[in-house]
Amino acid sequence: MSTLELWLIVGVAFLSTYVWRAAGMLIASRLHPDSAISRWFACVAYAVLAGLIARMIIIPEGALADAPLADKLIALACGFAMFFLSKRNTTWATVTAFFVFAGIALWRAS
Amino acid sequence: MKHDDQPTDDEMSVFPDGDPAAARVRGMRDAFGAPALVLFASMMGFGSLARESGLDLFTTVVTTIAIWGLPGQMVMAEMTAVGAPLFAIAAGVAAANARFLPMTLALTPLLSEWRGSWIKRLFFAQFVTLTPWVAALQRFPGMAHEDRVPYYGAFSAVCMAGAVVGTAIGFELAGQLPRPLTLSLIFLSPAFFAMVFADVRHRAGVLALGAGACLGPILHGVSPDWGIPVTGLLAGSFAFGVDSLLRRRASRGSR
Repeated sequence: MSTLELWLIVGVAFLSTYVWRAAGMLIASRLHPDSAISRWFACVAYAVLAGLIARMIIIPEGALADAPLADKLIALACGFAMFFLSKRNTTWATVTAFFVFAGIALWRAS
Repeated sequence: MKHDDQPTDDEMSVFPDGDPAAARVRGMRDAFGAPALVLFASMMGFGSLARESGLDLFTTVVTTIAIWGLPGQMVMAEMTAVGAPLFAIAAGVAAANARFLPMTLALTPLLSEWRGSWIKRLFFAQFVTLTPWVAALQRFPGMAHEDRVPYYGAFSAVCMAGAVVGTAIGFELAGQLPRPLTLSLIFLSPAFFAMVFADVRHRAGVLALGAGACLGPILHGVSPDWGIPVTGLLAGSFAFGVDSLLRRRASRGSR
């Protein structure tokens, strides 16, 4: 692949992502944060992201598809347990979920 | 709803006056840790994939900065690897990153008192991505208006630094990492956001997150292209409706 082609691809990918951000910025610039429409936008955004994260965990594509669902759910459960034990510390919770998942993955590979 | 427009005495006393320099330090400190580390690790995955897809180191790093949204970057690398036509790459990346529209729509009103020019606003828009966005939605409502953009900028800068270093290291290490570690690095990002969302406590957010998490995988099974956007509209409107109903009932009860 030529360098020019690569840059063309990166440029096109940049523009097709940036249009969403620019559109959001232009549409919402004059809105009050407590207005009904702003609150609706926030709800839609949270719902999209929750749907996306749940999909990534439950129906993963690519390499993560090889990991059994149980492994991911056990790791997440340990993460949530640490979250509440550590008085809502997201860093400790994430580290716990990561190491539990890595431990199970290593055990399965051995 | 008129009273919502005026900051209450309580809010005023928490942040008596804005201190943008202190906000910048706070933003850097908040990002330094799990947020930057998670971006570092997940961008390592992208760096490896990009190298296997035939990109060079420079374009790979520029892609991280220019797209600044992992799902779209992954789609770009995968489609480049199979030699997809340019318009197909554009459509694929746009679909994978469409979440930036509702995210920017939700974030922008919190900057309503920002007097930045249009050039500055359009520049700011480029830095809307999941990790700083979540922090902003959690932190901004209790923060002085003049502190918000400095906080966000500093938070983003630390995240992007972590992401760029991760991208480059992932590119260099492509194919050399043991498989269990690669799997764990990919798992890190959804696990982190699951924990971050567990920390959302206002009613509308909790409702939207719960409904979205239940509906997303189901509707994705029905239509991989439209499942997630439709999830956003349905679950988001449901959460908004329930929250509005309860607000109205509460304000009627207090009268």
